Amino acid sequence: MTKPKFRTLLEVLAFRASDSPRKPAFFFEGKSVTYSELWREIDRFARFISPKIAEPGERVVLVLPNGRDFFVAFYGVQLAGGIPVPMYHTSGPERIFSISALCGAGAVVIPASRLPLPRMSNKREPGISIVEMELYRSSTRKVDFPGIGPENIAFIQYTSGSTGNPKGVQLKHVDLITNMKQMIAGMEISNRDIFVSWLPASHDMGLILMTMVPFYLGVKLFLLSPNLVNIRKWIETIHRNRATFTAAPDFGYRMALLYTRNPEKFDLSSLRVALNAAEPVRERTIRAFEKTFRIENRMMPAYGLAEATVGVSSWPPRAPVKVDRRGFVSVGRGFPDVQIEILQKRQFAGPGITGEILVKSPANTCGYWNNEKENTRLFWKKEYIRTGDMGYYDDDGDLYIVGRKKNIIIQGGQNISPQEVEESIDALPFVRFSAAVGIDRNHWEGEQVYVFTEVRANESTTKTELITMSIAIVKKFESRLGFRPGRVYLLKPRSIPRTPNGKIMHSRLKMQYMDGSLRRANLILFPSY
Amino acid sequence: MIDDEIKTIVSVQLGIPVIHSDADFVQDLGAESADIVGMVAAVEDKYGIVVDEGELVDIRTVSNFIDLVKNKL
Repeated sequence: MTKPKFRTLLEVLAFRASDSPRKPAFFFEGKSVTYSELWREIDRFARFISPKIAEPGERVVLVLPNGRDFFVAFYGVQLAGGIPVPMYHTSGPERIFSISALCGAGAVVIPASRLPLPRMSNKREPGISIVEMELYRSSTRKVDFPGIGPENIAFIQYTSGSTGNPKGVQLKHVDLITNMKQMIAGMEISNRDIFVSWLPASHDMGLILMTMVPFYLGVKLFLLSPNLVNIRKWIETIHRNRATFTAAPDFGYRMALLYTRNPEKFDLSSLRVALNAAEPVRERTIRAFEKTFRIENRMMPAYGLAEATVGVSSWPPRAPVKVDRRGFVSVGRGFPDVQIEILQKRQFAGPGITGEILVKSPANTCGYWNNEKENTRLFWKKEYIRTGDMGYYDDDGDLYIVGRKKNIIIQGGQNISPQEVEESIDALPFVRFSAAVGIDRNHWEGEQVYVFTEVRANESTTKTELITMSIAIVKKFESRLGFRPGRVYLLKPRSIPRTPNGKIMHSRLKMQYMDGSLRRANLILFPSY
Repeated sequence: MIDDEIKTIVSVQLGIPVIHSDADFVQDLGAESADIVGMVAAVEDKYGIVVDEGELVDIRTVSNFIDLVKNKL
């Protein structure tokens, strides 16, 4: 059978189930799930969840880990006429109920192991039912499903707004199909590729690029759990299966470098693309990863955001990366039909000028769910979305991301990008992660750079050792930026708030420092002021 | 005790260990005005005191700084 022109994700999976029923859709924890099994379970789940979908387009929140059940529920909700709203599987009750309220969900689907959810009587909206995932297996209900077309919303992706309310990006089936085609062309993905992913399937890069694209092309996918414990398993899985395509934010590769013992035992030469995106790309990570694993020109810096479905641009495969004199790594040019502009003083700027990055693409979202205020802010002249990222393009038209618009720190009239500070501090051997934020105590000194650093230390580390670490951080900062930071804080591991994809949530960290909750949670090792 | 605490604050701010209280901020320790601001902010937070901008003019050495703080406690 020749491959039809897919218009929806459901068409993709239905086609695979009838065309190649015994072919594995993916491998997870040593077991394969075939397309026929996947489609049969999707259908069963759709019939099970149908009564919770009072009207077409009803939102259903999914709090499910990577694995078969995630896909069964995600596509099952679509088949039943609803809109899935995937959330990271470890999300706490407060976040689950706040997202459910924001999108007006009729149901939350969650594994039995997470139940009962603690009562949140004040936040819980009446009418939200909590559905135990496993119950669908015994369902025998007979239902007719509504037809789903390209213009239907396929899912709503909540982006981790660092302050205020998260925003739900609406993505239609046509947006997903369009962006998949853009990425396939731009990254030269083919039906010979073999994917390995540990990214959460609940979030854009892990969901669209790393699972929908393999389904769309019918290629092999090895899926892992998104725990950091899997970092070693990730490298092993690539090695064992001669994988050709993987993706992670920069910190994933840094972790792999830290925790892979005997890298010489792993052969990653099969890799065609190791995509590095969702976080600032660091030249040092690329060099170290490629050197350690004896590969060349495989790490591919890329850029994207949920508001443009996911992928916007990438560096071409197999080409040496380009780094500017400030150390920013180029994320290449836009995928086919993607137009990128730099907005500076309400005008499009030329090469070399830094401003807000605007994106015009047929895969741009139609807007946030039920959020007129943010929608007004999102669009520029209707055709472009404002990314909130600052960047510029060079004379060749290659794009560089300089930082987040709202995270830029201004100390003494100088613009400081947190990523520049973080990259330099993270190079210290005792540092796990760092985050730089601008803090204005409303005194005469104005906004100052505060460096929050997770260090390899605990309560038994002596004060002298902590002081020595702080001094080293100040020195390192100074040698990079030419002046000293306003303050350095040493934190316990895992104190800096991050998104499931590993992005540092600067505004949230700042809030936690300002309102004293960082101190109250006893996360600050040093100093005591 | 307080002397040592303040020396620590100065060390961490300047990125160099401070051993002598007589060290001159600018001459010996290479401090800039922004560093003084940072140290003052740190002692204000630690001891719950307020230092006026005008009072900074007299601070030349680490011991001057220690005295200024002690006088406010």
